Amino acid sequence: MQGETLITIVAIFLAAILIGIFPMMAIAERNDDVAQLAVTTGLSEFVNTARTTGKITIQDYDALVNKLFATGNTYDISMEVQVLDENPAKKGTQTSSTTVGENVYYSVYTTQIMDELAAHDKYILKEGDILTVSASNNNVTISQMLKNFFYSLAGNNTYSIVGSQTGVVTVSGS
Amino acid sequence: MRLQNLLVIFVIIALPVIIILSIFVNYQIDTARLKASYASKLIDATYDTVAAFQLNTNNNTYSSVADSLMEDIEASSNIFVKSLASNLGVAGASESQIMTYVPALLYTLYDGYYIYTPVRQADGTFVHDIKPYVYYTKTYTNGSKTLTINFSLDNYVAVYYDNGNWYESRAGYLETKTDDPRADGTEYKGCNITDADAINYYKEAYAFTKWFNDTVLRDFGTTTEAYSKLYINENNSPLQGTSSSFNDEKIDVIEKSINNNLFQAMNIYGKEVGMDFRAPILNGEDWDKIFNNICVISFMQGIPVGTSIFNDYAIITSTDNSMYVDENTLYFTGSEDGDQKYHRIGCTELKGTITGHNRAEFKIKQLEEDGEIKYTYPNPASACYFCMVRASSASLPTSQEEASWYSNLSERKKRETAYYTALGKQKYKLVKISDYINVNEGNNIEQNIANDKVEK
Repeated sequence: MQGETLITIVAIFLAAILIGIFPMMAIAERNDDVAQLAVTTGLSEFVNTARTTGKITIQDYDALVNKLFATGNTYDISMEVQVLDENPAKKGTQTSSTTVGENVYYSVYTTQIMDELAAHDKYILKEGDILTVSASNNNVTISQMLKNFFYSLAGNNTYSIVGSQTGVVTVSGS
Repeated sequence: MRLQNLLVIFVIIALPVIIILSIFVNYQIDTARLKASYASKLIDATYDTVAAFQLNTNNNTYSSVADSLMEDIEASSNIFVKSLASNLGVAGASESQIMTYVPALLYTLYDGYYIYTPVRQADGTFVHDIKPYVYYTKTYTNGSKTLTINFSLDNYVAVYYDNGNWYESRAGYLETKTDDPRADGTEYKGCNITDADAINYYKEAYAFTKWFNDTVLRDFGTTTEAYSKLYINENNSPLQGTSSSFNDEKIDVIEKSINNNLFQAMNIYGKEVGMDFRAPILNGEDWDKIFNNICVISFMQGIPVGTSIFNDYAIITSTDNSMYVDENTLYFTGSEDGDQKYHRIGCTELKGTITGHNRAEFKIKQLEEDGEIKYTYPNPASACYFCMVRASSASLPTSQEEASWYSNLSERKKRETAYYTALGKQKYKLVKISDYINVNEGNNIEQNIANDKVEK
């Protein structure tokens, strides 16, 4: 009789895990996967549009933000433009005509790009610049919460949805 | 039923569902990643194609000659194959395999386009080849009169007119009536033009427009479609980027021609090889690129990707070629620049007497001297950090700067004069394929036009 009660308790415990928590974790994980899909395609579309039109526009940026936030999470979006400077190469070639001088890149980051978007609604790129855009969620998703609970993961900086896209700008914008 | 039994039943039902769903979603994510990766690689390969096209045409004096241009296009299309295969990791023997998924490469140029598409060979196989050049052209008829016009991306047209009793063909630039240059070409939009080439450009454009309006269109018929759409006046500007019935007609001609020929090329190949290739519907932004720039458009279709098929296209515009002059191809230097720099016309760092240049002057050239390869720049000025290196800063001045810029009328006039002079000069120097139809050349443009007329 005692043994049967023990089995029943174990069964109820297993049932709670299998009927409640396991499907919830699975669904929460799928939710993150779908969000991951949205981040991957959103960043890809955003970078490809910017590098083929030669500009980052406030409309495109807003569309990216809307697409990402529609997944129900909040994100840190960071941008970097590596600006191509051909002047050192030109000076190098003028010094020695038998060699081609080296180009250099300097970087412009999210804050500067956002300032320009706020002031002019667009950030102009030129052919040869390199654009990199990354996004990672800064909220704790249900999947993360459950994992933290069951696997005792610690730390606030863990994120489960992350994407990055980069590309060379193919046309000078205007 | 015992609880354990219920539990087992639930596990049997739910577990496979959850596992299958999980695999499916992951598969979809992989598919989306792969599609994004292919789209990006297609853009990269098309960009390499444009870069090769620019490099070849800029260093080929004869690129305005059709045969020579075809060689340049063939060379750049080879780069597309190599680049795409290399990006997709199938370089080598599989290069030709990847091209079966590329039903067309479209080169939209200054006054027409080439389609690089699979063409059936004598042995029944398909090999990618360049189809004959197609002009942006339309023929209008009115009784026994026939008027054929080849449009271009800007205000240049080639006109073939046969009125039944006589015929005449001329090619030239059209300019608006309101913005009439003086007949002698020394003034344009209120700016005094002093450069000899620029003067010749405005003078010839004036005479050509007058001939097009008064001799051709009036004779063709004032009640015809051609007259109502193409007659140049203050409300109907032929200049690129303006809203007018002339430009609407031109855009319509370009769009229909490209759509028809592309559809045909892709469909024929698709049917022959049993694949469902279809010309995609290009959106307004894509057409805008095509109407305003020389472009390469690559189509990639039919690649199985995960649960779906990859169908995409990439449009890359060429911003560095010598086939075409617009505001983006003109750079300017100022006499009061301490450290000599070249700028865009709106740059606040551009000071002193302004001189316009073609962009090619500031690009590297390769020479061979005594068997040794040497590199040189025709113009030693370096790029301005405010408007060229980082274009965002000065080409978009703050509202205060902009206000002071425009309120300073003499500064504005100085810049407009430099701009129109450079534009006229560079357009005049540009060699066009259609120039050959102007039989009589020389300084007296009116006389040349009169002499070109042939009685039947």
